[in-house]
Parts: sequence; structure tokens; C-alpha cells
Amino acid sequence: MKPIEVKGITKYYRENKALDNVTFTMEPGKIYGLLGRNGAGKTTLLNLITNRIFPSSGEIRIGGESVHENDSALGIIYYMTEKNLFPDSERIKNIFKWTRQFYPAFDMDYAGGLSDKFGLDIKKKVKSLSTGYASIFKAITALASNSDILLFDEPILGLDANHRDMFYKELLASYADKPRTIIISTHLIEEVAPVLEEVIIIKEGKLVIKQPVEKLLAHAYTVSGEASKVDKYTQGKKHTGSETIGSLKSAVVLEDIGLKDKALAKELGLKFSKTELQKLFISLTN
Amino acid sequence: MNTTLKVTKYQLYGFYKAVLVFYAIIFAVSLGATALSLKASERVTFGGLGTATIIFISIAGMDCFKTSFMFMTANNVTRRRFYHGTLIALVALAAFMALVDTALNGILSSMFRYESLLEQLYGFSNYPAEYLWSFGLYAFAGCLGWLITMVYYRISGPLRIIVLVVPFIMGIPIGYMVRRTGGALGRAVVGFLDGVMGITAGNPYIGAFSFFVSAAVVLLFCFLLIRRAPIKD
Repeated sequence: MKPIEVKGITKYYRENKALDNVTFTMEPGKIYGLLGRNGAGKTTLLNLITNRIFPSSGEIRIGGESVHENDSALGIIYYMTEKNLFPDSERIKNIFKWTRQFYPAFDMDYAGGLSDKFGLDIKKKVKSLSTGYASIFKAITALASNSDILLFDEPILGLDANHRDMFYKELLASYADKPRTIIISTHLIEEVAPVLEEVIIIKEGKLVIKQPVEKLLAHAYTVSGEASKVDKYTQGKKHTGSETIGSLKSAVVLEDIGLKDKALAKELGLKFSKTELQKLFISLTN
Repeated sequence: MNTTLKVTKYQLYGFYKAVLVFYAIIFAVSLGATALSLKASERVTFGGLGTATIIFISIAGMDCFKTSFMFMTANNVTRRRFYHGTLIALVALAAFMALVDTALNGILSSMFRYESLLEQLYGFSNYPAEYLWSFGLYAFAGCLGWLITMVYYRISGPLRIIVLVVPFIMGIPIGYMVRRTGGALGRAVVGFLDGVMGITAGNPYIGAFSFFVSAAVVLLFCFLLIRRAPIKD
């Protein structure tokens, strides 16, 4: 398994800067969440990792090799895009067969089994699939590809709650069976959070944070109470955002709770609670 | 099998149904022509079925890009591999269709008075010349179709309209230039085409060579267009 190194990546679409000097390394064998608001640059980053578009500056390397027109680097990645890149008039079973041509480790039995589980009729043509089933079909193709690196861009788009749950379970089962690098870009943070080991948060093309979820949440907490007292408490602290409802306010603080903090909170009548990933995300990107 | 050949296989898979339908029609037309010639009291001449192949292969060239490029991109095939794979597929298709057409020309000529494109242009025909000339012509037509669709893919907005309209508008200044030069320009163009096709020289191999060179030039442009082609809607 190979690491993915993103080095000083900047991407312009005409005058619009989609990514701004983004640098980080993804260690192999982990499940990453690529989070960001609409237009933050998530899909651009995934497209750059897979050489589908070209950076304005910077470089992306997989296992030390540049991804630019590199068969060996690109051959170990499967990227499930939100956009449909499959021929509309082709039957799903034929897409599976052709994918096997390019991904020799593609597991036809597994793809067939997953299709049965999800109720996907593989005799259907791509164009006849609903949004949800198109996502299921693409996710199955990605999972069955058996690639070392799997990228999912909005994999649960249009899926109902049952199918979403099934997807997460299958993803984890597949990961347990064959640990690999998985990157999931989604807006449904609350749902995907239990699956993620690490998060990469992008805001307006810039990398905001890249940390293990556990560590990120362990060093963050929510403090809530009367607005003026919360303001007093967060003064001088690294807090990322707040929410006010009437006279009550809650703020996300990105620090450990010290003894002094506990005493101050007690004195001000404030309450501490754990921060959820989604809340932290909103705080960081708002 | 390496990735390039897998791309070729995929492209040929995309062609084969259309080729079957095309030749079914061509054979039907040939049978009809044979029947007509047998019934006709006067001596009749048929010819130029190769024109249909030129149109077909140009369209095949146009059709072999966008959908295939997207699907190959979905499979993380590099642009270089896609280019080489598609090139092999188009040349293989041209070679195959030239072979079928040469054989068909031979059969039709033996049954009634049939004139292939080569015979119409050069006044004679033989199998090697017929095959090589058709192969070169079809390869050029297929690559040109591919180039047109790629140019259209790479450009966007108003440029697309310009590219569509310019060939028609160009007729006006060209017509004007021909008149201004008292037909000299037209004669020069015809002379040039005659030279590179080897028509007056009666040498279709010159024509075949010119077609292959033209195809190579077109392929060079195709490569320049694809090497940094992004995924687009």
C-alpha cells in the first residue's frame, strides 16, 4: 500500500482559485473523510489525484511516483465519481466485464452478490437507473474493483436510509477484508463519521485541518449557557464558531478542558458537552 | 494483454455492431445492383460503394471519442494509452473495411460492370493498389473524424459556433480568390491534388502514400489535443 502525497497543489479555473497551495500526505490503509462545503474544492482535489484534470501548480504523488499520465500510479486507484462516466446505453453486467479488463482484481462474484443485496438488476442499462441506483451501481463497481485506493465522491447520493446503512456496512466489511486507503467525500457527515479514521477539511480551497477523528474530537468540546457568559468563557480560547438561540449560546472550543476551565465554567454556570464531527465541521467552515 | 490493447478491444467492440449493420446494407445494395444489371437490357455501370465506407468511417471516428474517453477515464486509463488504443482501433477498422471493400469490388466487377472509386479516378484497378489506396483513404477519413470531434470537445462556448460556421463562410473568400485569379487558384489546387494523388501519373500508390501521410499529420494533432484533455460535460 502506498501513501498519497499532495504537494503545494493550486488549481485555477480561469481566474477562480479552486485550490490554494494544498499540502498533506495520506498514509495508506486508512479511511479518510474529505469534507468541505459546496465549492470548497473536494471534487477538484479528487480529480487531480486521479489525473482527470491538471494542477496549475504543485504535484501529487502516489508511492513516490507522480500521478501525471502514470499507469502504475493510476492503476491502483478506483474513483467513484458523482458524475456518470459510463456509457448510457451499456448494460451494467457489461460494465462489470469491461471494468474487469482494466482492473484484473475486479471480483465479478462479489459485484454480483452486492447487486443482489442492493436489488440492482445488472441486466439494466445505465441510462435506466434512478439516481439512487446509479450511485449503488457505481459504489459496487468501486468496491468490487479491489483497488488499493478507493475514492468516493458523494457515494450515497440519492440512496434511501436502508441502502445508506448497507453501503457503510459493506464498505467496512470490504475494508476489514482488505485494508486499503479509502477517501470519502460527502456532505452527510453525521452518518459517515463512525466510519472515518481521519478527516481532511477544506475551506475555500485551503486545507483547514487534517487529523484523526478521535484526536480532533478529543481536543474539542462544546460549552453552552447564557450568551454573555459563554463569551466571557471563550475569551482568549481557540474557539471556532458559535450558535445562538435566544439568550443561549453554544461555542465549540478547540482545546483540552483544564482544571481552570472547569472551575470557570462552574462559576459561570456553563455546561460542557462532547462535540460531534458535524458540529465541529460547521464551526470550522462557517 | 496490455492496457493499450484493451482500449483497442473496447473501441472495436463499439464499432462491430455498426459495421455489421453497415455491411448488411451494402450487401443488400450490391445484391439489388446485381439484380438490376441482370434485368437491364442495356449495359449499365455501378460504382463508388467506397464513398459510403468513407462516410461511415468518418462517423465512426467522430463517435469513438467522448463516450469512450469518459469510460476509459472512469477506469483510470491514461490519455496516452487511450490515444494509442484508439489509433490502433481506427487503423484496424480501416484495414478491415478496405479488405472487405476490395473483396466486394472484385466480386461485383466479376458479375457486372462495376467501377470502384479507384477505377473511376485512375481508370484501372488491381487488388494491391485497390487495397492500399482504400486503406489509406479510410484511415485518413477515420482519423479526420476523430480530430473533428476532439476539436469540438476541447473548445467551448462561442468558439464551437465559429468552428461550425467557418468552413461554410470560407467558401465566400475562396470563391472570390478563384475569380480574382481568373481560375488560377482553382487550377493550382486541382494540380496539387492531382500531384499528391498521382492521378495523371496513373500511380495510386502515390495517392495511398499521401493518405497515410495526411492521416499521420491528423493523428499528430489528435495527440496534441488529447494530451491535456480534461473531463468535461
